[in-house]
Amino acid sequence: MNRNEFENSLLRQARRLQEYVDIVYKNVLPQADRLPVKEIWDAQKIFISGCGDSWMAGIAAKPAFESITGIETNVIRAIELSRILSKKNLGYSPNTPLVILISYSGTAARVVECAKRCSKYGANTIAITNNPESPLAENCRYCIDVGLPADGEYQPGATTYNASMLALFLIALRIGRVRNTITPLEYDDMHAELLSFVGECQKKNDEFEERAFAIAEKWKDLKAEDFIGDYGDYATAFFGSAKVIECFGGYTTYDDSEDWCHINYFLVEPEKIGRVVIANKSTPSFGRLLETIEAIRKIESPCIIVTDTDKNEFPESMEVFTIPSPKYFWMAPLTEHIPFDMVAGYIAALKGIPSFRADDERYSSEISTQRLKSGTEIVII
Amino acid sequence: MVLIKEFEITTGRDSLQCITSAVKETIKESGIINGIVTVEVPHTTAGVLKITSCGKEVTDDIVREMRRLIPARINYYHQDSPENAAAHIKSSLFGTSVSLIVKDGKLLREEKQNIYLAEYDGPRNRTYCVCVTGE
Amino acid sequence: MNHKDYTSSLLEQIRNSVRDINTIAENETFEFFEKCVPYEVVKSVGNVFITGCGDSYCAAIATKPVFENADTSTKTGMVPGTPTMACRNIEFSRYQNTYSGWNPLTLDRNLLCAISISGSPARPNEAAMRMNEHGGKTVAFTANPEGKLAQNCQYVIPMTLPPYDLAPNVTSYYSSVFSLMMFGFYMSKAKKQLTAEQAEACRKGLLEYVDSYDEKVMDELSQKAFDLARQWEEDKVDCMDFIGDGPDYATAFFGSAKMVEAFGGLTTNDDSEDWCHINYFLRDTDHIGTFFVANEDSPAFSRELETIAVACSVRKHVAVITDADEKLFPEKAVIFKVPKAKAVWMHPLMEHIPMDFVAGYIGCWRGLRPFRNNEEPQCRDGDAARFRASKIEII
Repeated sequence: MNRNEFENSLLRQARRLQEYVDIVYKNVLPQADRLPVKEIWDAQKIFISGCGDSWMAGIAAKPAFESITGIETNVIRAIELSRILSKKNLGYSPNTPLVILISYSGTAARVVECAKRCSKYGANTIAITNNPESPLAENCRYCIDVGLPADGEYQPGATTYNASMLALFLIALRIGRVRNTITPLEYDDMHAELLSFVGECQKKNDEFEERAFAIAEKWKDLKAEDFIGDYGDYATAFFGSAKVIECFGGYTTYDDSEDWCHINYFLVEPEKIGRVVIANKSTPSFGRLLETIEAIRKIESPCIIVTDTDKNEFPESMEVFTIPSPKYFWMAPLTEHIPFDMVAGYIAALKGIPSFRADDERYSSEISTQRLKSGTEIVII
Repeated sequence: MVLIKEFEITTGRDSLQCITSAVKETIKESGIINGIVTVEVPHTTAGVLKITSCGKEVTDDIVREMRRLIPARINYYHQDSPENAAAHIKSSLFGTSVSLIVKDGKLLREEKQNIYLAEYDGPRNRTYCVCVTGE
Repeated sequence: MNHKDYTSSLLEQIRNSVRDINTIAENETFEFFEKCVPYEVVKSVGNVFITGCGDSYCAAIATKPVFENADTSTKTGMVPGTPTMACRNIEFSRYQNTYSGWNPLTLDRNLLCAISISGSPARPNEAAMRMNEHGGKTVAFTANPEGKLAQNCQYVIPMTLPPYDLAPNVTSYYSSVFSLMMFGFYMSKAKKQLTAEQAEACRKGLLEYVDSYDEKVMDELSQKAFDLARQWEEDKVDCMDFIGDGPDYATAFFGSAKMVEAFGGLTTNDDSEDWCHINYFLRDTDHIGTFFVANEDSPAFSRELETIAVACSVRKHVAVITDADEKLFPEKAVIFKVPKAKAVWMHPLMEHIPMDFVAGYIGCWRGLRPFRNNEEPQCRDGDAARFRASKIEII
């Protein structure tokens, strides 16, 4: 089969991520740099929340926040921040947290609820959105408009995921600069690296696509995909799993390298389950990831490894995608998802399935289309 | 006759780095016997100071006193960062250049007087210029 | 066929859970905890970290609210307790403090609760060693007081587990949850966040909740789980999706793990909000079983009701574990009515039972050995480096 005959939105996004990095960087930087010093100095704790990809972007950015700012950072489920987290965590100074809420459309009911609740109890709130007129923006004290062009393709979202992540990184750098936890030299160097890092990976687009297509042909009939990643790379695992569902509705699961050995290892018919492992040599759990990969080899699951090191480190039977190693470890999630975006895009194209169940009328019923508006009910607890 | 030279330097945090030798080298290279030498940093968060060096204690005192007089506060109107806002003030108050007389091909100065590049918002890569005029 | 005709180690554990928890409770009194970890030690604790692998991590998520909110007098529990983090074991062992920046290990007066029934897996031991190195206190929750974890921790809570044959473990989960909850009350008491009377009321309330799963309730849940499992087997359900919020997320997570362990079924889990953004789009909806945990007193209950209605609109098989009125849910959903607890944080101790029954019955029918023991291809790995022999690195 000729791969040029197969196309998919996720594929097209994966090819052009650097272009969007440039756009978002240019839009967000001046806004991030206007975030006031007082609010940044007030922050005793940082909360990041959102739904779906936005939440994953938070997980991906947590290492950057903790490393750059030195402030405890909790990436929290939107339902927990809006309904379950005790309000004592959101109170006024000296406990005033900085709450960063992400929603591309700015209309997701739960995230708006988070904004209202956090603002009510005194937290400083920042919205990251593509819609500065949205309810989310209106209910947060500050708004970062990522400014993605209106004519872009954003579903299933890889571009929006990277845009959210980049905006978070720029906020983290702003906090680090204001609180003097990174030096001006580091600050400048991190900015330069942010601008060029994704582009370095995109030089491998052709190679990755060729291999992704070959893998997609083999994987399209598998029973499920199972993703493994640790710490910030856990976000990449989670994101890959979500793309399986969004692109072609496949069964999928994800875990970290340790817990995988205790649970998902026991899934039956492992030869019919594709495993995707994010295993960067520069991370402290690389040793554990190698042990996990060895267990996967023994149970003969087809396996893709996304790594910053050479393929010789891994069993021969595995498909290894080597991505450039970032100078700063926390940038890795910006590119780690690219290889599997391509695989998922090709699987969907080969299966001829539209994203988000667009071929099933039940998914366009009123109850379905209203589900993210949450019956418009906003509860402040 | 005029000679202008640019130098690059990586500074530290709150650092005072002696640049007298570079100034002396420039004077020597210019061949000027009598005239003026001016040292300037084309930045607004760094400066050039003439300090009598009686050991590290003096430079430490200067750094500490500058921080005490112009602390990194969060309520400056300039919102880049507290360090940066304070650095702008230090730079404007303490100056970004010094001029010294060149006599007989040498700097006219006290024995222990030296020229320092002062970093108020570092570490950074900085440039400073030395301009010698005379005959 | 009658559900009582089936038996297995897993089913026995579930059926005996009320009796077994009461037996554990007889041993695990406040005096017992004081003997294990002296008052003077716990009263000065500033931050609690709870970690473990698999079920133990679920227990950490389930019990975090008990440490953070020490109170049973209100539905949500609003008396401030001790800041607590439920940590993924690999993150605690390898990532905290590895990079510069915020380092929770250097916070003042840290205490780590490391959970492992056998005490032998490498990672909880690694976590304990790491916390010891940073000067924090370490408490082992283990049924093997002579084991590695006990040796690597400064204090030991020796848990007594009733013996069962190898099976997906439910006993270890409820005993971990119970012990952690009790330890949470004990700590709050030591820190004067609860009076002795309040702490005793917490314990009593918890045991009353356990006892509310009486024979009749258990019989009904078992029968319903049996019918549901049979229906799902007939309809060839080959993937299960579990949804819960807050402490109930632990139940969802635990339920999904039991399905994997009992019969290797594909599972996934999420909260009620994120489910609408992701898992909602799963294809092949006639072959997915969707399990919700939705208790009336949960602050997320209204969202859970919405999500359940959405799930019923697109999926064939939906089940709900709830203490609320059945009429609140779509008719299509199979409702497991469970007893009400005095406080929302109590639920995780018992509400997993319907899921365990489903795992137990399907496990019986599929005839697979638990944990693929001696079955291809997993047996090729043996223990290898998965659990015990995994290399310990102190970073």
